[in-house]
Formats: sequence, C-alpha cells, structure tokens
Amino acid sequence: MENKLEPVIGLEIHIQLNTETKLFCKCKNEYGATPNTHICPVCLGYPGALPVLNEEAVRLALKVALALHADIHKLSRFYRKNYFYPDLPKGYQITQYTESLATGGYIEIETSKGYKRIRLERMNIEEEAAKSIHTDTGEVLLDYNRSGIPLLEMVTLPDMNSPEEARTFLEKLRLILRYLEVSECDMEKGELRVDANISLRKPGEKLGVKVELKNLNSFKSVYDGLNHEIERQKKILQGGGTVIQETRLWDEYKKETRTMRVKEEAHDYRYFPEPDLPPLVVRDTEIEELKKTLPELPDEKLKRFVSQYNIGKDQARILSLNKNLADYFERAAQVAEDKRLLANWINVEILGYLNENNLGIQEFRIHAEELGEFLNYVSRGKLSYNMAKDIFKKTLYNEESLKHLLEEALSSTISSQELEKIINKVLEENQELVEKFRNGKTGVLGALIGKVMKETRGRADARKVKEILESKIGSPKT
Amino acid sequence: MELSSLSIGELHEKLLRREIRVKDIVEDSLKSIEKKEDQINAFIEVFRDEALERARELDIILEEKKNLPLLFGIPIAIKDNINVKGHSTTCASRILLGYKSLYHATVVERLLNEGAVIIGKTNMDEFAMGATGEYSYFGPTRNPHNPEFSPGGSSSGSAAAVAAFEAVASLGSDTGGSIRLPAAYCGVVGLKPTYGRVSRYGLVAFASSLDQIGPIAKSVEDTARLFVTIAGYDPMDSTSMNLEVPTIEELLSSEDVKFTLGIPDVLDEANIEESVGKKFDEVLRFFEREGLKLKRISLPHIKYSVEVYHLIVTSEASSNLARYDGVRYGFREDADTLENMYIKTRSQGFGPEVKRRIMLGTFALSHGYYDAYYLRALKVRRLIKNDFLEAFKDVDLVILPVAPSPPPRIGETTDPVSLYFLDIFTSPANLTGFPAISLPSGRMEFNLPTGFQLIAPSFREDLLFKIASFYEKGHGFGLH
Ligand SMILES: [Zn+2]
Repeated sequence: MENKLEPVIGLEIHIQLNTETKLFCKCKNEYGATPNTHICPVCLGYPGALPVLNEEAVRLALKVALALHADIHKLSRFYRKNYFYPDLPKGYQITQYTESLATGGYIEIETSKGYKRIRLERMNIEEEAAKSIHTDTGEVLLDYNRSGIPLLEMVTLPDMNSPEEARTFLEKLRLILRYLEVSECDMEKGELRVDANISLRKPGEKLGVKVELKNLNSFKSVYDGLNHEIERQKKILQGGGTVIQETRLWDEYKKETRTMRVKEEAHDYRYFPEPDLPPLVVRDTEIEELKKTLPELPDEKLKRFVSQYNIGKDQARILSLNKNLADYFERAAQVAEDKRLLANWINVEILGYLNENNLGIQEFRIHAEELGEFLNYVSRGKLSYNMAKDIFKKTLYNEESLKHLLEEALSSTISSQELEKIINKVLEENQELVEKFRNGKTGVLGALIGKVMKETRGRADARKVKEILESKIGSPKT
Repeated sequence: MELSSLSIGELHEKLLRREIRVKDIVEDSLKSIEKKEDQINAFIEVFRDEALERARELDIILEEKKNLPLLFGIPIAIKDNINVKGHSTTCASRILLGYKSLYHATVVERLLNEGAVIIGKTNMDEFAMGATGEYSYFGPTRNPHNPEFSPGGSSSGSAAAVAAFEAVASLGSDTGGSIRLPAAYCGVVGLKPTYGRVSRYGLVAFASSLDQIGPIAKSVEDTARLFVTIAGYDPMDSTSMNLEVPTIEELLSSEDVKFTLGIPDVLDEANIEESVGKKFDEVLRFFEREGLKLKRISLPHIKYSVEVYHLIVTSEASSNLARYDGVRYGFREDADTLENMYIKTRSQGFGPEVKRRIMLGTFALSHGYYDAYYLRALKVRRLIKNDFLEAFKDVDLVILPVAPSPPPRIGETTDPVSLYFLDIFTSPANLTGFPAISLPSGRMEFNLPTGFQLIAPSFREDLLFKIASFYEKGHGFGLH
C-alpha cells in the first residue's frame, strides 16, 4: 500500500457552562469545593425529587449556537439515557438526543493551506455525572458536587485532516467560548473535554474504520494522541491489516493508545423522552434578545482592528486572542495618537512582562488611558523610545509611579536651545569628522551623534539629534 | 364515639365550641389505630409522638382562633411513597429500608400549612404497582368492611385507614386507578386530579407521565378541603400547571347540575360482574330521575387502554426505579464486584411484581423494540385522548364503574395479568390526564362496598365536585 493516507478527524466536545447553579437544581456550580457540599435531593437522585431546567444554562448554550452560526431549533426535547454507574445517581442521564437544541454551524480555522470551515453536527444540553475518585487502595470515592452541572455537548463533522487542525480548531473554539464568557474551558478542571474519532483513508476514497480516542486531557494530548493513533493505524494499513472499530485510551505517560472497549460491548441506552420535563421551546424574541448581547467575536475584532486602527494583521491577531487584552488596547487607543506604536508596545513591552510574570492583563498595574498618554510623549518626540522603555521598565519592576518617572524625565529633557548649543560645539570641535562625512564617509554620523548624546548626558532624543546634525552639515558630496 | 368518623366540618365546629381539643382528635385516631391495626395493617409507620406534639402546639394556637384553616387539627395519613421529612419512605419495598426523607413533598408542606396533623405513613403495593394491596413488603392491607377481602390498591392503606376511622382523611397516588379503586372497595371518596394540578415533587415516581397525588376522604366536602389545599402550581415540578385553583365554595355549590353524562359504549363489551353492573345501573337511574341527561358515547380506542397503559407504565418505571442501586441509600447487598452488587441488591430488594414490570419496561424500550412498543403506545394514548375530547363536545362528564369486579379475596388472585384488567376503567383517566372522582354506590355481597367514577375534562375538577356533592346529598353513599 502506498504511503498516501489522509487522516479524517471528528471531535466530540463537552463544555461545562459556567452558570451560577446546576442544570436541574439550585445547588451551586462551583469547582473545587469540599466534596459533597453542593448537593440536594435532585442532584443526588433521591426518591421523589424532580428536575427543573435552569434557564441560564439554556441562554449560555444558545449564545454558543448563535456565535457558531448553528440552526437553533424552536422545539427541542430532553431524553433519558439509561445506564447503571455509581456516578449517575438516577440511573439515567438527562440529555438531548434526536431533537437537539441546535444543528449545523461551523468554526473557521486558518491552516497552512488557507482558511477552512470545520462544520458542526449538533449541540445538546445535558447534565454532568458525579466525579469518581479512584484511591490507591482500590476504593471509589464519589463527589456529587459535579453531579448535575450543565454541559454543552458539541459534535463536529469529520472535517479535520491533521492533528494540527484539530488543535487549531480547539484553540479557536476555546477562544470563542471565552469571548462569550460561557466557559473558561480549563481542561485541567474538566471544563472542556474532548474525545476524537479518527480514521485513515486514501484521499477521495470512502471513510475508513474509525477509532474513538478518549482520555485526551489537554490540547497537547489531543495533538500527541492523534499523532500516535495515526501512526498506529498507518502501520496496520500499510502492513495490509485492517483497523478494528473500538474505543482507545491515550496514555500520556507511555505515549501510546490502548484498547478500552470494542464495538460489540456498546450499550443499549434505551433512550426515551424525559417525562418530568416539558419540551424546551425557544422563542424568536428570545433569540433576538440574545443576539443583542453577543460580543464581537475574535475574527470580527481582528478584521476591525486592522481596518480601524491600521495596525498589522499579526499584531491584531495577538491582540484579539484575548478579549481582555483587546479591550485594553481599545481603551488605550482612545488616547494614544499612534496606534501602531501602541499595538507594538502592548505586544512587545506589556505581553513580555505579563508572560514573564505569569500575569493576566486584568492584573496589569498601568491603566490603558495612562499608557495612551504616556506613548503620546513618544509619538510627539518629547520622549525617546528608549527612554520611554527605561521608564516603563522602572515603573513595572521597581513599582515606581509611571507619572512620577515621566515628570522627572521630561523636566530633565534638554531644551532645543541648549541642544543646539551643544551640537554647534561638537561640530566645531570635530571639524575633521564633518569633513569625512562630506566626503562620503557617512558612517561617521554615528560618532557625531554619540558625542552629542554624551554631552547631553542622554537627555536628548537621538532621532532628533540626527535630524539636526544632518540639516547642519548638509548632504555628503557625491 | 370515634371522632375520626366525623367530617372535618363537624370536628371544626366542636373545636370552635371548645367541646374538644386537637389532642382529643389525635388521641382518638391513635386509639383507633391501636385497636384495628393488627387486623387491617393500613400503616407502615405511625407518627405517635410527633402527632401528639403537633396536637399540643395546635391546641395552643386554637385558643385565639375564631376561624380555622381548612385542615386544622385533622389527622391525615400519607401513602408511603410520599416524602415526609425525617421519616422513612419505603414504598412498601425492601429496597428502601433505611432510607430517610431529607425533605417534605410539596403536598405535605401544604397540608401542614393548613394545620393538618400527619398521623402516619400508609401501606401500599410495592412502588404503587398492584391493584389489591397484597404486593407489600410489610404484608397485605385488609378491607375494613371485611378483612377476608382486599381493600384495593395500590393506595390500599390510605383508603383502608379512612374507612376504618384510623385517620380522618389521607393522601394516595393514582397512576392507573390507585386512588379510585381502593376508595371504591373501601366505600370512601377518592379523587385523581388532572395531571399537572397537584405537584408531584416528593412523590416517589412510578410512571412520571401518569402519576398524580390525590385525596381520599369520607365525604365530598372533606375531599374538597384536601384537594384545594394540595392543588396549584409548584415551581419544583415542571409538569405542574400554573392555573388558579377553585375555592372550596366554588367546588361545592350544587345548584346547577343540569349535566349530560356520557355512558361509553365500551361497557357493552366489557366483562362486568353482575353485582357491580347492578349497582352501576342504580346510579344511572338515580341521575336520570333527578333530571340529568344520559347519553351513549363512543370511545373506540378505550379498549386498548390496559395494553397501552402497561407499556407506558413499565417503560417509565424501568427507568424511574434504576436509582435504587444500593449506592447512596436504602438496602444494599454487598458483593465482590460493582455489577454483582447491583444484581444482588436489586434481586433481593425488589418484589416479584416490581421486577416483572422493570423487565417488561426494559424490553419495551430496547433498541429495535422502542418504535413498535413505546412509540406506538404513545400514539394510541393520543387517540384515546382524542376520543374523550370528541365526547366532551356532547357531554359534560363521562360516567363509568371503577372496577369491573368486586374486591378479590386476599390470596385468591395468582395470575398477575388478570389483576392488570382491574385497571380497565380507571387507566383511561391517567392516560388522558383527565380528573376523575370515585364515589361509593352502596354495598354488595359480603358487606363489600362498590363505587362508580366520573371523569371530567382537564382542570374541571369543579364539575366533579358539583355532581359529587349533588349525588352525596340526593342519594347518599349507601353504606349505613
Ligand atoms: Zn442539587
């Protein structure tokens, strides 16, 4: 068999919606609380307790559906998915099934071959199971704090053709969900969970046998797990074998996938409509209201930043990757005259500092408006870029006030008369250099600038010094 | 005299005249229980101390009262599938042994708000699955009118306790006739409200789309007092309807009862025992004499009720009862593996009828059978409802016997399927959601009562109460 095998990847994603309370009861939806403190008869499945749908969860799910261009169904339904497991207190999970909240929709990603739409099959609301903790002694401990937390289930079509695309898709999805403020998507906390379906085929041929890959606990493990699974399947197919349909687990430590269960063991979940809940009806007016609350999404923001502020696309992309950072930029841009300088400053000076110190922009000490004003001194030539950088650094690392340092620097900045005097003096004392310059040795200009800067003790703007020098000594003879 | 034999109105008069105190009513009820329980076995748990304590509290309040809340000082028994905080809720099943309710069912809270005294939890068929009261882990309940016979089920204890004057009134639950059948067999009044009228929050689910809690009492007025207390919207139950509940005065005004009663053609084909049929004809003749119109109506799909009912009930029950797995509460039989723990716990925890229904329901919902059984049952259910809606264009109410046969002897029936057909006249009201009231119509052989039922359109319990009080005044229940 030839080497040209194309991976076909689809993802099944579960997102915990960050509501105040759980999906069917009033218990708090909170991560990391003392186990079994956010529980009640409903989320414990006690006899006689009934579910009441949390409308906030529906709103958040609808926001996602709208943002991803999905078709929202006016009427959807909850079903019971029946199976026995200790983390499932009722013996069934309340979920949506054939009558989904939304179908269709897509996320556009940028690949090495250009833009590509990854289409979505459906979006469903469902409840989370309790958390099972397996102890070293073989016991299973159950934390029902997680039981009943609202989940948004999202299934893509098999539109991804490489682990890179899968990772890019997930990064884009996470970015959008963060923009929408429906989930922080922290995979370590289980706020975002991903299973992948993967098969190989020769391009143009029909889909191969797919394997479901589970236990992908980070974007890195999605990427690594898929790569390893692709290699495994390649080896089988190239050796003339067949891939069997099964569910495999990714082992992050051993760097391998291994069989969890084969298809024949699949459950019969005996789905039927949940009689305790009426159908979920979404009204047009509700959708219209929600549309108004949708924030500008990353793609739109990127385009707008480029056109409105005339900044580079790469800088606009970095800014739009984080909604808070983008907001910071825009607030500063209200004040800053040079938007390119501002964008560059944020990308280089601020992001560098934040990354180095593991901080978010929300924790950054210098207000956006203050930064805008500060940079205006640079763009108006009152402060050199290097001086500004020094002041900025001092402000951040020595926790000195930006305003104070700025005032100090400005008061010590040399006046144009004084600068002129110094330049004249330097020219007089260095006639031979001036001569060399006029004879075409333009490199000596640097030496002249250096001498002026030394005389001013660094109080002058080097760019300005250069301008004045050039105007004074004229152009080199050709 | 047994105070529990009096109506709530009569007891309230005595309380207001200070002839008696709540303590006397409660002690009297407890005395009745002590005397008769050995024979009747209507209760699984009696709240002796708690009821006396509550009586003491109410007697203090009574001092300043000129008007009494609807159920002030009235001992009420609760079917043991309804949660009362701090007590066990067994559903008469071994599997719930050791389970303690963490909360009050909404209906219990509402009873307490009207001043009721919860006197205890009543016996029943396990998880409300049964028609005779014999499928209880705590032994069968016996008919107070003749202990050789069944009191009917599944709310066996709730009906028997009222008939035996152990409680003034009670709550039962009705999924396919479980209030109306024992009410008829015990000679008391039983109401199954419209689906969505009474909150199911706190009622242990049997078949969620059919279950309704309802009152059982000796008189129509007492029944109305309980009904208006427990009815009304509850945000904790997404299937409860946000509709106004009529006042007790509105329910009991009986001046305008020029109703037309529909007699379904199914009665021609149904296998009705002669003694039951005779009493039913007497009731029809009474209404005719009183100037009500009787009209034959056609309900072509009602003959499938029992089959449709059992498919839906078993399907929903198989899922509703999945939570009894030994993990969090109730009975557990430990084993070497998780799966074996499930198997042992559920095999030993459930009785034979419950297991039968779980298996039937699991089968009906299985992949490949769902469309043929469950989905088709839902379609026929819709057709049955349409038949009734069509009939209600011509008639105000539908009249039917409660059961086709008199109470069976305890231990006599061994074939479960024949018991299923006791629901033939009662299950249509559950499948359609319509409200239905069962009223006594006199005694038959062996001193055993029988009854008939009236079915009204959705949320028209007012029609049921109007005609019921008209009948009660003009005809009487024929039990004395
Ligand atoms: Zn809860």
